[in-house]
Amino acid sequence: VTCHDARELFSAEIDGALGAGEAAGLQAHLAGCPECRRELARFRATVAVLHSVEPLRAPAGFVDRVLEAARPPSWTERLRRWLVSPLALRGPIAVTVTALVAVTAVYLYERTPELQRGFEVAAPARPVEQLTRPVPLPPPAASAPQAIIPAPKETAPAKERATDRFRTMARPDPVAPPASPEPARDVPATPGEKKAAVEERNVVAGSAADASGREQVTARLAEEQRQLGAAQAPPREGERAERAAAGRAPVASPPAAARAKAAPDLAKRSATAASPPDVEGRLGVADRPAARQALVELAARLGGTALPASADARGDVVDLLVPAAAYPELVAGLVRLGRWAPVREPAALAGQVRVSLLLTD
Amino acid sequence: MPDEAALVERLRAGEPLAFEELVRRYQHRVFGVAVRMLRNTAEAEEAAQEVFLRVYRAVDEFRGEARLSTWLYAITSRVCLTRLGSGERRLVREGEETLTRLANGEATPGAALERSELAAALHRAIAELPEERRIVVVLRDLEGLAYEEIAGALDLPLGTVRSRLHRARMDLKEKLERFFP
Repeated sequence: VTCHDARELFSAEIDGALGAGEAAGLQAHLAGCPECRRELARFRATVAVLHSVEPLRAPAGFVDRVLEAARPPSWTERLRRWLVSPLALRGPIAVTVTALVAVTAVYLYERTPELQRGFEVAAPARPVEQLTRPVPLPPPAASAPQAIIPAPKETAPAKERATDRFRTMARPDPVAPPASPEPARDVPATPGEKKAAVEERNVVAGSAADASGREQVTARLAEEQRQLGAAQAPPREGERAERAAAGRAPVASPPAAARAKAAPDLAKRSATAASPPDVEGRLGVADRPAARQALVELAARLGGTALPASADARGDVVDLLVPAAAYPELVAGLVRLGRWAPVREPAALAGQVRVSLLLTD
Repeated sequence: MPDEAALVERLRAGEPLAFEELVRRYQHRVFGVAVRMLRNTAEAEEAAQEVFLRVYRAVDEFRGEARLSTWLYAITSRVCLTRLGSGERRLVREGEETLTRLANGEATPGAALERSELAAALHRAIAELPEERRIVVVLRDLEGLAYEEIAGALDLPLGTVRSRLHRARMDLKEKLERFFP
């Protein structure tokens, strides 16, 4: 056993962990090596000092603090921790809540016709005529959003989609006859229909511009019509009949021709009526019977009257007769009732004004 | 030990007083090891608290093959060595605070040895030991664990424990030699 080997056994020797052979070898070396004996003595002293160290004590209140930390947190504490939790946890929660709110909003919008109408009438675009002519303010109404100016159909494709959706959701009218096999389309497909659309636009523009502006617009639109006519196929028989029915309007007057093309139903009706209506237009409503009743009451309130029910095949036309002075108020009432889209609306009205309304969904 | 086994059973049953008894019984030992290892009383208290909370939540994992105290020492050692290796420790001048207090005898009033120069040198020498040696000498010479218990607590071979303990004691002897004849 060398000195190095002997000193490697010191620790185990002190702890009594040496085997019999190791212990005997160590003792034999120590007997002949005073230096290792001195080293072992120092080693023992070091360990003795270590063993004499007083144990440390935990600080006062340590037990209470541990028990407090181990206590389950109250609901308020859990809420507080949740609120101050890292963004990594709050992010997904916020996204989930936002998605739920969005889905709920869409669901409510789909299921609430009033909400859809409110969004539609709140569209920013205004028809030309309303840009050039002040819209009479409606009387105070219980439902404020309904007093908003309606958006023109031509400038609101989103509205068209919403209207289509609304049409599919609306309850079938128990009074009205079955829907026409070919409902009114707003997007013309054939050249003839494109021309009709242009003419319909002419009507709106023509009635909206002032005297000089109207002439310019009329000239421009007439040119547009000529271009369309050049590329247009020969009119069908039905269209010729419609044109013939609308023949009372001056041929040289594009707006008059447009009236006959753009609103065939109204044109037919105008042709068969004893006197043509002064104002024609579409009124999009959710409930036609209710709207019809409301129109009768509105006319009566304005000092006018509703003409007897029309023999129109679709049964969706309501004719009103109101004093010209009450016409602005009638328009305000129409706006409240639904989506009012005038097809023909002369700038100057006098005497009794006959208003022909085609109720649509 | 029978009382340890009974305490473990009460802990597993969720008896509130059992946990308090556990903390009161072992607080000084757990805290002592933490201070020796971390060399900072504030961090040592945090570590000791973490040890007891781990025991509280994982008492069902205690298989009863070792003594409860050994299990506590094992958790304490693991917590301290993890903290020492995490690099997220407070940037205090390591050991200085605790060493100063120990050298002045504040932590152990009444103990003549602790007030002596030798005591200050000893605490400083312990604090300067490498971590893997320090934990072995603390568990053996300050806490009195057997070799086998240390090997179990640190998950080390018995020979490694003996070797590290010997090296630690030799380091301490060399630093304290001036106090010995």
